[in-house]
Amino acid sequence: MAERDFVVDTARSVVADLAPDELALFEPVSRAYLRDPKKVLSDRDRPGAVLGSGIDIAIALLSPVALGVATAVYEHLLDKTGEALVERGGKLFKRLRRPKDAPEITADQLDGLRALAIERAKELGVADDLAEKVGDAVRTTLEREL
Amino acid sequence: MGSGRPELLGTPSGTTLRFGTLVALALATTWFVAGSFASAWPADPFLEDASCQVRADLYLTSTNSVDPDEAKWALYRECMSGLFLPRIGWLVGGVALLLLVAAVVYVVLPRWRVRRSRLELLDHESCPALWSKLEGPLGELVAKAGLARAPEFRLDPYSTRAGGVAFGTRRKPVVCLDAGLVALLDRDRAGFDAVVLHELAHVRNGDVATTYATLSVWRAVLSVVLLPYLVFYLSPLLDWNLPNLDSPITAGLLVRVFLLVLLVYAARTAVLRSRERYADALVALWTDDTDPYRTLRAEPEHRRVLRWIAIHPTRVARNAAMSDPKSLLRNGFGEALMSGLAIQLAWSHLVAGLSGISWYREGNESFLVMRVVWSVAVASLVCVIALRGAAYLRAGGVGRWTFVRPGLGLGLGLAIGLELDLSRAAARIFGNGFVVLGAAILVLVTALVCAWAGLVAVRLADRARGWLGAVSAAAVVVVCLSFLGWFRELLVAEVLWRDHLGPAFTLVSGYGRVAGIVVVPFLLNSDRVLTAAAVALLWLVPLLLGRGSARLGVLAGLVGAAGWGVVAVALSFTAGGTPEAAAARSAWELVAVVAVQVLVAALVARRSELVTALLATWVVGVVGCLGIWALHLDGWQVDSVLAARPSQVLPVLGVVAALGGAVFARGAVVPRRGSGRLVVAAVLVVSAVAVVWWPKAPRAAALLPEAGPEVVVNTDQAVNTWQYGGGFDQFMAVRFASDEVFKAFEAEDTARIAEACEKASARSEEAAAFPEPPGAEVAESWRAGLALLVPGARECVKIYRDGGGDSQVMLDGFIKSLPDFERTLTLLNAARESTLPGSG
Repeated sequence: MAERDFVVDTARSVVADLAPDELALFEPVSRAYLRDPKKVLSDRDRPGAVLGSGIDIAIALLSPVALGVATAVYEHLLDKTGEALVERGGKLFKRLRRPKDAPEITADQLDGLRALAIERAKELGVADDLAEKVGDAVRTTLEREL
Repeated sequence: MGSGRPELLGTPSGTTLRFGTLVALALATTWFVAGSFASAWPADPFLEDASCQVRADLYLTSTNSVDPDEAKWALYRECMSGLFLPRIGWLVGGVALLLLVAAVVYVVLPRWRVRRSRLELLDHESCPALWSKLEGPLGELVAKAGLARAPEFRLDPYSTRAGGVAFGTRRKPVVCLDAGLVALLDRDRAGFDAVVLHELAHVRNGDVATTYATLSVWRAVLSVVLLPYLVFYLSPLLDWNLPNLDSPITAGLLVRVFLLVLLVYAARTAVLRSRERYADALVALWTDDTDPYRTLRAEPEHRRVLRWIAIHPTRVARNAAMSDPKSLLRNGFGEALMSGLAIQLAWSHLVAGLSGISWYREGNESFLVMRVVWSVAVASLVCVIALRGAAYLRAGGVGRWTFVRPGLGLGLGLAIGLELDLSRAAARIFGNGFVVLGAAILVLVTALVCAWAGLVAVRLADRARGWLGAVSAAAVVVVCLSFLGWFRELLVAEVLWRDHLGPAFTLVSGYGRVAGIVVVPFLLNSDRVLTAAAVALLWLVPLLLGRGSARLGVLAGLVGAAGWGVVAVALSFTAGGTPEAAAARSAWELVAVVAVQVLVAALVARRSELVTALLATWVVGVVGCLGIWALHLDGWQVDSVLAARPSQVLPVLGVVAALGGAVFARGAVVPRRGSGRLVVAAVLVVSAVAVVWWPKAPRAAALLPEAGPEVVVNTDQAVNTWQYGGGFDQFMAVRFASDEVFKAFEAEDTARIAEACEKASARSEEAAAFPEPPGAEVAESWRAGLALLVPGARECVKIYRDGGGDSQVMLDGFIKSLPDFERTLTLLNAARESTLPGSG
């Protein structure tokens, strides 16, 4: 549950910062992402369906990118600081009390996470300037919440 | 903004009819395949059929020659009637299974799609935030599309594309929006509206139900009909019995099934592309924008080949539909071809099934009923072509081929459909010159019928939906019935020439070369009343709708007929007094009528329309008919069969003459003065007499040889049928019985000899009572053998059972019959081998 909460809450925060018009759509997209992340992130063109519109242009949605980036950050944190930090992060997002013995996250670590987010966003096909903004939003979110 | 929108909305698109033809084809193909399965279980109808042919002495071989002896046919049908009940069970059960599977697919498929793709329901409970944002805009779009009830909206959260799709059932249509499309609501409202309206247009047009019902039926056909059918026929190949591939039936079947599936797929995608263009045109209408998708241009163009099988039209075609909606009304060659092909194949398969239960046959009204069924179906397509073409022209479209081009497609589809009939798997496609010539005529006449129907539709204009439209549609049915309904004779064109036209041509040419030529069209028309009625409709309907000039037509016809009268009187002085001379003279008189018809048509066409020329040639024909009667009449009799019924040929030749005369048309139209209804009424009354009544010609020279057509039978096939129909069993029973007698003699056991002779006597007498083989040579040897064995076995019984008897007759019976039976066996084997695949 911790991973789900962390990913969804972080991604929602990014979407709220950068694409608030997508917030209503974020809810069903995040549900779909949790069921099948690869399917949401894959940019497969759909062959013309019977009685479909025949319009196959891809729309740049931030929600799947934000979810993908949040997942990458979560997995990185899991590697670097262990389950405890993540558990703490999850609890923070649930507005629970911060444990006194939880490790602090440093500015360098936040910069690293921002770089990771930018890299992952680019991997997901996001333009450089938007990827930078995603990285900034992730950093801000982590800084605010952790 | 392009024109043609009122016509677009008020004119039938024809796609429902085209889907209907595909469903009819599916049902008829199922009907046909079920009939094939009936041949495998519970009885073996092949053996039963062979047995019935033997008993009725009616061997149905590949020569297509029809035995005129009705008693044989009655005996054959009575014998076969025992097989009909299980066959009917198969036919009804097959169609019921198809419909059941199709219904299940139709109902289950949308649910499975929702489940498989995990499509989210858009409502207050499932997606409260998103729905509160979408509810208003979607409601507005539903209202704009004129839908009384909103479809169920769903979201594909996995797709970042700006697309949508409509699916579901008639009761519960579903419109699914991609997540990418929903995002456009705030970024590109016009693009969002255009795509959603496109899907709502599908719902409004009823595409969801018709499309998915058709797809369900064809998926059911593929899974429970065609696949089992191929396995059923190709199962010998699974045993690596590859020589079966050489069988013309197997190869023909494979080719036909492959082409059938291919053509159905192509027809289906063509109809779907058409529906997409209609939906786009409606979007353009609702948004008042000829390019509502301008911000969403990213779809790749299909390559040229893929365009034919793509579900969606090209960008150019979509733009054309939106900027110029009337272009949708233009009938395409390909769509008409596919529809004609589907109708033809469906009809052929239906008839094959009905033949299997012996309903479709000579001697009842089945031929007429099925011809009417076919004509109504084809006339429906012709009416759609005419209505759409007329709407296209009204909307400002131009094109001389508006009706002819789809007519050619329809005719070609009908001709090809006849060749792809699965029940004719053994026949080569367009296998002889007669069929090709007949098919070419069918295509040409179909195009002309469509052009005529188009002319009528143009005149009808908005009255097409009223009683005038209904009457005109009935006229189209009659015209199709007469001018196109003969197509079935294409299949037996070679036999028709061999058995009827050829002998008549040879015989009558002896009376005079011209008479020989005239007799061919004379015999080709088997129903002169129907033909004359159809020809009369060709000028009557347009005339009543305001085309042509009745007065000019009648006047020109009467003047031409007067000229013909002079020629005919002159001809009467040259004739001899024999019946043959009378036939030759009447042929010349008919030729003179046609010559006058051509002349009058050419002159009238320069002054008026084709309709007037048709009326003029009709009048020339009617007066010519009355004149020929007058010149040949003696009391209530005439001296020539050709003179008795001139209306057998003159109406049709008048049409040909009018079409020839139309070449000289200058496009000048003389203004009508008055409706000319009284004139037309008078022409109709006189015409009715000339067409319906005819004098008898009891002393006339015959047009057909007295002997009638010779029944041509493929002897090897017939002998083979005789073997399967019980003949070989009889042969083997006799041979076994004789062998037993020889063994008994070797054992020198008198009791055994007596018993064996009794059996041999019984078997040989049974065999003698069984019908002889249908080949002269094999029948002779079989008969000779039995002629020795029957008395020989009888004498043997007398000698060893009763005392007395002639031992020499006995010995001759058993020993001298051996060479005859050996010869019989050799001939039977030769017949069987000659009918094997690849035997040539």
